[in-house]
Amino acid sequence: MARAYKRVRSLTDLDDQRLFRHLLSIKERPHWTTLHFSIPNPRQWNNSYEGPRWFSGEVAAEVEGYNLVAHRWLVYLLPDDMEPAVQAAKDEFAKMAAPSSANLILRVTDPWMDLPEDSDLVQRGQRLLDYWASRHIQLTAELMHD
Amino acid sequence: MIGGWAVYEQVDPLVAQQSRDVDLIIHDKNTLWAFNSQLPHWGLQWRRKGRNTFNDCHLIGGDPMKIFVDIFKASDFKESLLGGSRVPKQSLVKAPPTLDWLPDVDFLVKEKLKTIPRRQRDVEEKRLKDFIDVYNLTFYNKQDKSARELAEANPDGREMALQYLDAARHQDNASRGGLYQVQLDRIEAWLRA
Repeated sequence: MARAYKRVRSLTDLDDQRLFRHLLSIKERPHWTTLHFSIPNPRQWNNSYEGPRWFSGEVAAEVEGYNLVAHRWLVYLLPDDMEPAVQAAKDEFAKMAAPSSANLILRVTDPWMDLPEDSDLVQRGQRLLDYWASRHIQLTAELMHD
Repeated sequence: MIGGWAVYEQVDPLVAQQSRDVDLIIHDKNTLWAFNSQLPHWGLQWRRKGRNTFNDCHLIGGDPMKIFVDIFKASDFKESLLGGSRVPKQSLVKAPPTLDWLPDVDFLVKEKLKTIPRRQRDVEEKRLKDFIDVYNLTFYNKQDKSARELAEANPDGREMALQYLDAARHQDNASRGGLYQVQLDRIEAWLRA
């Protein structure tokens, strides 16, 4: 990931399109600890859980203004916050689920996402990759638009 | 409009159309035909089963979702809410804690859970709808009430309603091929919490 980061940092005049295409060309990917849940309404988990969280995927895209309704929630958490977040999910009647059927995805954040310099760039890049990984038609169309 | 309309107003728009009961109070049959003419894509059909007449409102040429419409004529009204007319007692929301004139989610969930055991045997379709209303109010309410909070407020109602869940599943399988299986599974977990 350090090598990937250095290559990204060498780019200039980055916009979302250039950053996204460059990230796609890089083979390296972080390995996440991820838990998948099926929950009746992810918003109830969001109201119930009190700790810090970082949204990505469909729910972040919806907030950014993409024309979609988020069904699958991808949330990054600090390692120590995973346990209370899981408890909050269970309190709101979530069940463990296969990745294909999950609508609440809790992921432990990698330290590389919290670099003191250029964390905005790293987080933006991660969010773009998560948009791509969501396989959502609207997001895919926007990302591939020239 | 009362009854199912209140559920419609209190749940997320994404699921609101599943609250399919609509109670209309009309003054005469001319009002009924006026209602039909204003909704050209819906057809009002009458269905009789035993002593009861059910008024089904079908969307023509589109989603096969149905809306049950109970139409009360002015001549059937008992007490006045509208200046001299009479309202069938069972259609009234009785002294609810309200947000202005809209019953809040706590009240609606409690009342729906009370309704489930009271349904007659020949209205299993309505009992299925009641379970779906409880599901939508519990998990998709606009007042940000948590499902856990609503469960803790209704221990007795949940226990009573649970006894009728199998009948609702049977109705769902028989009439819809299990369309609401996921919702009924989730509401079962909530009833058993």
